[in-house]
Amino acid sequence: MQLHTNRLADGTELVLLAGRLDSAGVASIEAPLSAAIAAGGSRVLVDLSQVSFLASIGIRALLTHARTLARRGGSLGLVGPRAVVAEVLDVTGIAKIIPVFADVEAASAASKAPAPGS
Amino acid sequence: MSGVRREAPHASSIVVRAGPEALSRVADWIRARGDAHALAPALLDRIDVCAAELVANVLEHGLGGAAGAPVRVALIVGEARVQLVIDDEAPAFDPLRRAPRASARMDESRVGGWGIAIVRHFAHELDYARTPNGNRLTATFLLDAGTARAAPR
Repeated sequence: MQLHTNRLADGTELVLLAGRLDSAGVASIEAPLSAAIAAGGSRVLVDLSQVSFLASIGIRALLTHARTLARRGGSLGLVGPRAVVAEVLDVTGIAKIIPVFADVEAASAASKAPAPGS
Repeated sequence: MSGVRREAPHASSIVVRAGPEALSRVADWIRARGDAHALAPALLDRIDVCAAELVANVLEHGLGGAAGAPVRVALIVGEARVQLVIDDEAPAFDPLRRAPRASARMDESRVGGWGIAIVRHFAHELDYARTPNGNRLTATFLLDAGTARAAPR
C-alpha cells in the first residue's frame, strides 16, 4: 500500500492511499498516516480513489483517525471511493459518520458552505 | 446415456495455515482464480471482500488467533452462480448466529464487528454447516446482469 500527502491551498491535508486497505495495507500505512494526521491541520481528506479493497480492519483504522481528529476539533473526510469501497462504507454506516465526497473539489466546496442553520 | 453433456461446475481450492500470511494468500488466490474464470471485476471485488472477512472471522473467532490450523477456501464457478466455501477445523462457530451489528457511531468504544454485515450485503445467500471436523460457511453469488463474466477481450 502506498501513501502520499499533499497540503492544499486552504490548509487541508490531502492523504492519497493506493492499494489494498487490508490487514497488510493498514500495517504498512499506520505510522505514516498517523504522522500525517498529527502534523496536519484540523481538516484531513483521505483520497480513496486508488484503494481497490476495503475490509473491516481498514474501517477500524479510518474510524480511529476520524475520532482522533474529532477530539481535537478537526474533521476527516473521504474522497472518491470506488463502487465496492463505497458500498462497504455505506453498509457499515461509516458513510453516515465520516463524510464521503465524490472528489476533492466537492469536499472543498462543502467545507466552505455555511453550516446548516447558520 | 444422455447425448446432452453439461459442463460440471468448476471447483478448485487452496489450503492456508492460520497465521499472518493467510489473508494475503487467500486474496492472491481468489484474484487469480477469478481472473482465470474471467469473472467480472465487480463480482470479483465482492468475492474478494467476503473471502477476507470470512477467513478473518475464522482466524480471529473460530481459531481464537491460534496459528497453524488449516483453512480451506474453495471457489465453485457454475453457469449461474459462484460459491465461496470456507472450511475450518475449529470448534463449532456459526458467525451467522451473531447478532447483527448496529451502524457505527463516532462516540462508541466498540471498534469492529462489521465483517458479517459486509458479507450479508454482498452475498446473495449464506449457509453455515457444522462438519465432522469443523465448520463450513458457504457464500453464494449470482452471475446476474450486473456482475456477469467479463466480456471476452
